Amino acid sequence: MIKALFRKQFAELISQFNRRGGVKGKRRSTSSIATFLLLFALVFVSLGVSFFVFFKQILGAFNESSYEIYYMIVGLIATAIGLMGSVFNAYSTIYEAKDNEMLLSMPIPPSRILFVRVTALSAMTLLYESAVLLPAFIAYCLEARVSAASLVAAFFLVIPLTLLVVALTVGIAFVVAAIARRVKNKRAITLVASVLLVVLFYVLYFRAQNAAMALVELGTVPSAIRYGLFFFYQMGCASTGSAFGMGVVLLTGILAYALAYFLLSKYFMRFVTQRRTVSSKGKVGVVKAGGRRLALFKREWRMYSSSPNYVLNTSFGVLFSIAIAIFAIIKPDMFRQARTLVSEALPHFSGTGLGALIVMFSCIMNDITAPSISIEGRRLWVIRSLPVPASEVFCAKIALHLAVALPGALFASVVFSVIYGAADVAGAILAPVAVVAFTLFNACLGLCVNVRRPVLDWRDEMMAVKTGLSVFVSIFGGMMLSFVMMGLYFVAALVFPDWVYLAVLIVALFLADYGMLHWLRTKGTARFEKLD
Amino acid sequence: MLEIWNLTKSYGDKKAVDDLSFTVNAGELCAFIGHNGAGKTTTLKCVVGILGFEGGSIRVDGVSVVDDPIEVKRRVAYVPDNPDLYDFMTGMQYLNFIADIFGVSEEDRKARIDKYGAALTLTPEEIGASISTYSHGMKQKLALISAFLHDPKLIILDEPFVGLDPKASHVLKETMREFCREGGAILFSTHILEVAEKLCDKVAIIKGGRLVTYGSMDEVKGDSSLEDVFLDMEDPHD
Repeated sequence: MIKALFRKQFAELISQFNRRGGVKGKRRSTSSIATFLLLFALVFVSLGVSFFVFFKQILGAFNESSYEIYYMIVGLIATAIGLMGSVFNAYSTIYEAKDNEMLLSMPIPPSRILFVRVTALSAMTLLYESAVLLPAFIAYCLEARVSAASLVAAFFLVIPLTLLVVALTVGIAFVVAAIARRVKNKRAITLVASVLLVVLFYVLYFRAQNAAMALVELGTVPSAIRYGLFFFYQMGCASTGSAFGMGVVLLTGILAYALAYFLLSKYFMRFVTQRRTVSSKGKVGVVKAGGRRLALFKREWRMYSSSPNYVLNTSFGVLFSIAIAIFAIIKPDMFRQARTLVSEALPHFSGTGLGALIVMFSCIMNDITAPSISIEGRRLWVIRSLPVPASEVFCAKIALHLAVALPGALFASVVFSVIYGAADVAGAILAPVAVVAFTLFNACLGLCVNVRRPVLDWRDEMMAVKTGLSVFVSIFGGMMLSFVMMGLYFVAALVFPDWVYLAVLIVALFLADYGMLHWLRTKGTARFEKLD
Repeated sequence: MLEIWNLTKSYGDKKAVDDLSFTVNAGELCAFIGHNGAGKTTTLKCVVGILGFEGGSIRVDGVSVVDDPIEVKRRVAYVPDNPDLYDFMTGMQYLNFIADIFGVSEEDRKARIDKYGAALTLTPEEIGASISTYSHGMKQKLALISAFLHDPKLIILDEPFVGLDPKASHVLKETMREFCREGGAILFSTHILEVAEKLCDKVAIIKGGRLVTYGSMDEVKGDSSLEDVFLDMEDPHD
């Protein structure tokens, strides 16, 4: 029985790689699976490399007497990543699993169903954590002057940490699921919880370096941290070879895991079988007429704003561009000094082009159109059966992308134009135009690829939002293009002023935009009309 | 109202619909019958313009679905067998969206929502609720209200009675008859042969993608029941 349950769980996991849209989706071709795995590996390695650079950098501040602080920080960041990755996994695979009722109707003890699901959750948590723990461990091996026994101890810390994170994950997911069942707008709860987790991670990540420096300067770990972050402090001690520390973290991890499993077994049946309180009665709606194009735009907006998965996975660029703008407002002198430094080597450099490129780079994580066809899923029949030309549907999708991505990007661009504009008025005027052209480019690129390669037969919305060629092409294509634009910019700055570069860039981007819009109107429309 | 001539549609090597021809005139209610996988849904989707096809022609009110699909869609309403609706909208937002697309005036849409909502027992509070909270039957009812919302000339329904409670089912039959009396035409697929027999003027039976029988209900069933005729066609040696 356990074997069959594991096989089912494994099939679910594997279907994310070898099928479009989950278990019941069409099987991907071998080349498609290979590409998908390659891109997945690329993301994992990129993340690992960035963590490795980060950990190597902070390790430089430590010595033999303060290495425990290093693993304390590693533990905190790995916990944040593990929670971010696993909480919603736990929410959807344990509490809200689509096959809960089916499995519970069979002669299977609930504890076995739970055992399999929690084991699968632990494996996924381990995968997320390893993106932090592996580079941290490699950096530790290379940089830290500790004994071989300490390194072995540090390596095995992954076990108690995973046990603790799974216990926390199950607990947080329980709270999220319990709240979501009692409120009407459970999507809002999911969105708020997701944003909180993301903010928690970034706060930890950006503060880690300063916190490490402060602790090293202090020369000792304050008792408030020792006891407040007891588990993580002992984890740090264990990494330097403390047997007591290792004992404490192992015991804490095992106890937390056992407690979570016990409570889960006790309340799982009651939770799954209790009556949901969300009613199918609402306020009487208002009959209100509007135009067709506005109706299409409102449809896109509702589809986007009602899905935390869609918002969180496609709109990070908005946060980044606003954060950069605020940073530039607070510290304009830093950017002005950078211009002074660079202009010594590049006489035509004014900074307006650089400001535009920084904003464009921050916008890469806006890929709202990239899953916009896939997200229609099995509901595609509605729009396909209505008297609406495909071009109008595409327009609404692009308009949504611009409406979400442009305000933040333009705000940031104007801030940079103000900082750099005094010396290059033409560049300051052209920079926001270039940002508009690039945002439109992003929108068109994502939509074009998604029209060609949509994932429509998904069962879990995350499949539409996170997987699929369009999402990868949109993000990595945008990234590549940004690097190329940056390289060309510095070459051009040897000869031309910034405004000339920006003018050429705007023409090139608008030409590319025109080309993609033309494709959407012709071949894209034909392709859309064949989707079923 | 609906003319299908020599319709052929394949999925890879398999012919889902093979040289199918029949018509449904204004005022007629036509049942479309066949076993699972016979090609009913494929045919209906071709009529609505959701699926392309390799051979033949489909005209609605004289307009070719190939030459002017948008114009055909303006005259047609379609409800699939398992309507996945926009669960990110409330029922009213969905109906307003459909009405906006068809340019239905505020007075007309209000009158029709009230009429069909009351008939299909979907209360204003239920219409105001999020579609994500709807049962299968409620989604079916909402999809049916949206089908009547723009006063189409032809309605295509795929298994419309699945999931409906007895009262809603009865009201739907009455509404379908009334719609045809007023000059509209309906083509619907069903496995409930008793309903088809009592309700319809015409019947088309499809098997393996080919039309095996088509005509008025009386012509097709003669003195026996539609069920006997259908079962004979499925397995003539029994």
